[in-house]
Amino acid sequence: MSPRDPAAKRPFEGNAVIVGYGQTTYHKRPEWSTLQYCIEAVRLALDSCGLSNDDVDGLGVCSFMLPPDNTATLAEHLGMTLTWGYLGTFGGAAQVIGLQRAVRAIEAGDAETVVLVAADAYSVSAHVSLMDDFNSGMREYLIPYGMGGANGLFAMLEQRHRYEYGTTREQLGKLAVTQRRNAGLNPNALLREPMTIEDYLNARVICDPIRLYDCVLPCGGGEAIVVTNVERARTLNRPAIRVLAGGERTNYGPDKLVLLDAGWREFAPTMFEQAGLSRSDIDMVELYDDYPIMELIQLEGLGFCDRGQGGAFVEETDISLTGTLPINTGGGQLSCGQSGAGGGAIGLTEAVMQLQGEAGERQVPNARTALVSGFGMVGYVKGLCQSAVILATE
Amino acid sequence: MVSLIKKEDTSITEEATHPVLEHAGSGIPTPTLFEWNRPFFEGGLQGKLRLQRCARCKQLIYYPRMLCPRCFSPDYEWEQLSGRGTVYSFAIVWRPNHPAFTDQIPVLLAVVELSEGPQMVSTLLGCAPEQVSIGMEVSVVFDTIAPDVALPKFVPQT
Ligand SMILES: [Zn+2]
Repeated sequence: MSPRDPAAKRPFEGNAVIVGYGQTTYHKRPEWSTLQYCIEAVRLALDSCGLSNDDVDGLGVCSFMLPPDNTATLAEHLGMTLTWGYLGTFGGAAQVIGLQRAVRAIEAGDAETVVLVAADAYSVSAHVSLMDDFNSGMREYLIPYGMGGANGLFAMLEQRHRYEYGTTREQLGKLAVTQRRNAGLNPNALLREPMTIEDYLNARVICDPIRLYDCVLPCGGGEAIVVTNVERARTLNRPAIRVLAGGERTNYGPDKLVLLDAGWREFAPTMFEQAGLSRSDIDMVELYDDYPIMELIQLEGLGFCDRGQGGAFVEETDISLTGTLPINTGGGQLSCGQSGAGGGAIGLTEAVMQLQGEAGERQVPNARTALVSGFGMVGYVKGLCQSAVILATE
Repeated sequence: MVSLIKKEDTSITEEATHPVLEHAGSGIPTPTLFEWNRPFFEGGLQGKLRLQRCARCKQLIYYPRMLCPRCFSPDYEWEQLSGRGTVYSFAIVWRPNHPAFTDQIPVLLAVVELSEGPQMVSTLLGCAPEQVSIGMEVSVVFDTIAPDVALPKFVPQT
């Protein structure tokens, strides 16, 4: 391991805040190109806080399908001259990592106003062909086995979690069913029809033990947020959302293939300490929900419960919008759809919307704090990247 | 159920340390061969499960690497393993990602923990989905998917 103590990282200074968000219409079958989803998400985010392209000097982009376009060429399309740029290559962890990069850049004066966008025209066929050539470890050592894409890998993760800790399908189903109820209040969610626990338990088997409602629906969509410094934020007449603390890990546990325990466990104590909050101070959690089993692993790693107790925690906790710990308040990827790399940003958009008090029918009452978690870039078997941030109203 | 050997398109090479199946099926995506993984796939053609062992820190390495991921040494030896292990976890894949596998449904995907320590993802042959369990003892066979590539797969130990 690194000789440096990762807990020695310098806290954020509190000078960078989130002032706007944008989410495009989600399309079951993508109707636009990835570039269009990016541009539309950026436009919506800047509109939401009364800014325009010439106010922006920093741009971060997370997308699987944007190549051959990239941060520089997107800036050209958008007419932005940048002093700072980021291209997120951490899959579903990338937007939450990008936010932390942007905070540091604004604190350092490398940029004043940053837009972070994550989007993809993510059709089912695009998802399948992306998986077949996702990275070299997967391509050389997994794909020749007919591994069922991510479903096969996360089915093995769930199988082992159930074996080690007695996690039940009913516990996992509570997440999917609760999120579906939240999605019913989210006009942009693609899957809004009510779902019962029986629907979840009896759904078509995709990759045993994973069934249909454990999987996300690939879709077209884009997500963006605007980050700026406190001085600029004061001129915008918008609620400024503080970024209290964060953390990231890439390639945690290099000897492990099945990540029952991932990087969140390592950075969460420092993150909460630097935020000056405890778990019970968190008003909502937006987890990366490519599969319900990953939500349990995040709850455990982030310290909301002990190792292996994620299932029991979810069973015993009121995770509804009015509960003690609302989870994935907009329905998450499981009910909204997974817009490729946008799936790693939907929780951030949702948290900003909630903390700005604009979540409409699904507004969490008196929401002052949120934890947003990211996870992504499956390499050889495991997801390589974990990230999280804690946000708060002023 | 996956049949271990289809008479018309497979055969077993008797002198091999472990069985080598000749797979007639085409269209299966094949790995790119590099200096540091070629002996792994070619070992399979001879019925041998070989992994790199780092010459400096002595760790067994999987998947094959150009440099030891633990100590960064470029020096390693190819070591033949027992080919035995246990199922650490598994999944029954009804929807393989790639169309080349549709005639193999369901694919029994597994993380196999080798007796010597490393884990690898592979598939199980010669057993029904309902027979698979965590902790099940398995041993290696090799599936020849290209002239220079035989993939280690696993069957229940008898
Ligand atoms: Zn070494």
